[in-house]
Amino acid sequence: MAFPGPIARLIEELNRLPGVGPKSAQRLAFHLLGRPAEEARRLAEAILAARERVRRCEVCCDWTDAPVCRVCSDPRRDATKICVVESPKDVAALERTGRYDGLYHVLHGAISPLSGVGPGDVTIGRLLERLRAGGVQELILATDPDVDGEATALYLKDVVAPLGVRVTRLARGLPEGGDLDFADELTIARALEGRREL
Amino acid sequence: MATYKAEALVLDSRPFGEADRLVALLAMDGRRIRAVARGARRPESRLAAAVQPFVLGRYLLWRGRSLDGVSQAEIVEPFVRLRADGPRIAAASYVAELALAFAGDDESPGLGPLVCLAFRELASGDGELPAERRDRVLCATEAGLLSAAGYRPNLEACVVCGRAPAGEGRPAGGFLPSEGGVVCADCQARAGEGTVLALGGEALAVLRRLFAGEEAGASPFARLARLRISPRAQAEVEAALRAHLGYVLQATPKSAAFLDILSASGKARREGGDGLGRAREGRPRPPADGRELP
Repeated sequence: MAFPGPIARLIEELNRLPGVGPKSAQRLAFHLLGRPAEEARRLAEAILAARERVRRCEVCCDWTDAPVCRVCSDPRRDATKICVVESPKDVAALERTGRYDGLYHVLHGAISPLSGVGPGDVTIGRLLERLRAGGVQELILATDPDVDGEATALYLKDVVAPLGVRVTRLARGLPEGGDLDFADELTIARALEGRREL
Repeated sequence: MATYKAEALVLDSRPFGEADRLVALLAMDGRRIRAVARGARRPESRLAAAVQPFVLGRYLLWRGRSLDGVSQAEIVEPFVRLRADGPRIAAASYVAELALAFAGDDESPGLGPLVCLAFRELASGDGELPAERRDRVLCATEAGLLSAAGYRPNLEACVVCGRAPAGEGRPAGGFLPSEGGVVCADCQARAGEGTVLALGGEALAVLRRLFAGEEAGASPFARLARLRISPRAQAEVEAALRAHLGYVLQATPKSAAFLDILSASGKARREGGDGLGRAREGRPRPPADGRELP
C-alpha cells in the first residue's frame, strides 16, 4: 500500500536504522503519528542535537559534547594506563564496573580481514600518537574475544612492542555463575591458559 | 520445524541484529550454508564459541524461509592456534574467503577436507607462523581450490601458439592470466608489456607439481613442502596463482589487504626496522578491476 508522501518518507528513514525492518519502520512511524506533536518534536530535536553537538574526543576518540571527554579531562584518572576498546558502548560497560581508573582509547571498530577492515580504518594511528607522546606504562587490550578482536589485539601488540609499553589483555574464561560442564572446549581451554594462583 | 545436521567449518561470522551472529558454514560435502545463530554474541550463549570463524563443528540447523538457523552446536576441532598470531589469522581468513567464493549451494566433494587440511597446516607448529611456510600453504590451497572447481591453468603448452612454453634450448616464457595459462617467450614478446607475468622454468615446474593431481599422491601441501624453491620462483608462483584466481573470481579477496600489511610489516621487522612504517604492498594482487568478493 502506498502511504502519503510524509509518512512514506518517515518509514523510509526509519527503515535505514540498524535492526529496523520495513514492518518495524511502519509500526514506529504510526506510533509517532499517534503521539502528541510535542513528543515527536522532542525526539527530532534530540536526534539533531546529538548529531550536531556530539563529536569524537580529541584524545581518546570516545563520543563527547566537548573537545575533550570527561574521562580524559578528569585529573583523578591514572594517565599511565590506557584501555583500548572497540566501541563507546564498551567504555560504558567498563565504567559500570567501577574497577578501572585509567584512560580509554576507542577504536571505533576492529580489524576484520574478512570484512576488509584494516588498521587504517580504525583509530590505531591516533593511539600510536598518544603512546609516542610518552607517559603511558600499560596498554590494556579490551577488544572483543572473537577473531576480529583477536586480530586487532595481536596487531596492536606487534606495533606497540618497539615503544616499550607493557601490553596486557583482558582475561578470558568461564562466565560468572555458569556450570563448568556446560562450557565449550574453547572457553575451557582459554580459562585453563588464564588460570592464576589463589 | 524441519531440521538437519552438518559437520562444517565456520568460514565467516558477523554481528547480526541485537545479539545474533550471521555465519557462513562450509559443510564437509562442500555446500555453503548461511545461518543465523540467535543470541551468539551474549557471553552466556552456548553457541558463542562454536560459531567463531575457523571452528570445525557439528551443527543442528533449522530450515527457515530466507535464512537457516543454528539450533545446537558441538565443537569438533577449535583450531585455537589459528587465533594465536596475526599472520595465522590473516592467512586463515584468506583461505576462508577463497573457500566461500568457490562454494555454492551444491555439493563439491573435496572442498571441505581441503580447507580443513589448510587450517591444520596453518595451525601446526609453535611460535609465529613463518612467512615462507604461510606462503607455501596459501599457494597449495589456491591450487587445490582452483583444481577442485575445474579451473586448472594450462601449464603444458603455450596458450597462444600451442608449442611447449620452455625447454629444449628455448627460454621460459610467462603466464598470461587472461588466457589462463603459460605463453612461450616468442608469444610473450608479441603480447605486449604488462599483460604477461614473469614465470621462469623453476616456477613453471613448481606450478606443474602443484597441479599434478591425485596421481602424484599426497596432498598439495605435502607435495609443495618437499620442494626446494628459490625466493624468486616462489614470488612468480604466487603472482601467477593470484592473477589466475583474480580472473576466475573476477574479484579481489578482501582479506588479501591485511595479509599484505602483515607481510610488509614482518619483512620490515626482519630487515631491522620497527615494522611501523607499513605500506599496502607486498604480494601481487589479482588484476580484477578493483572488485572485492561479496
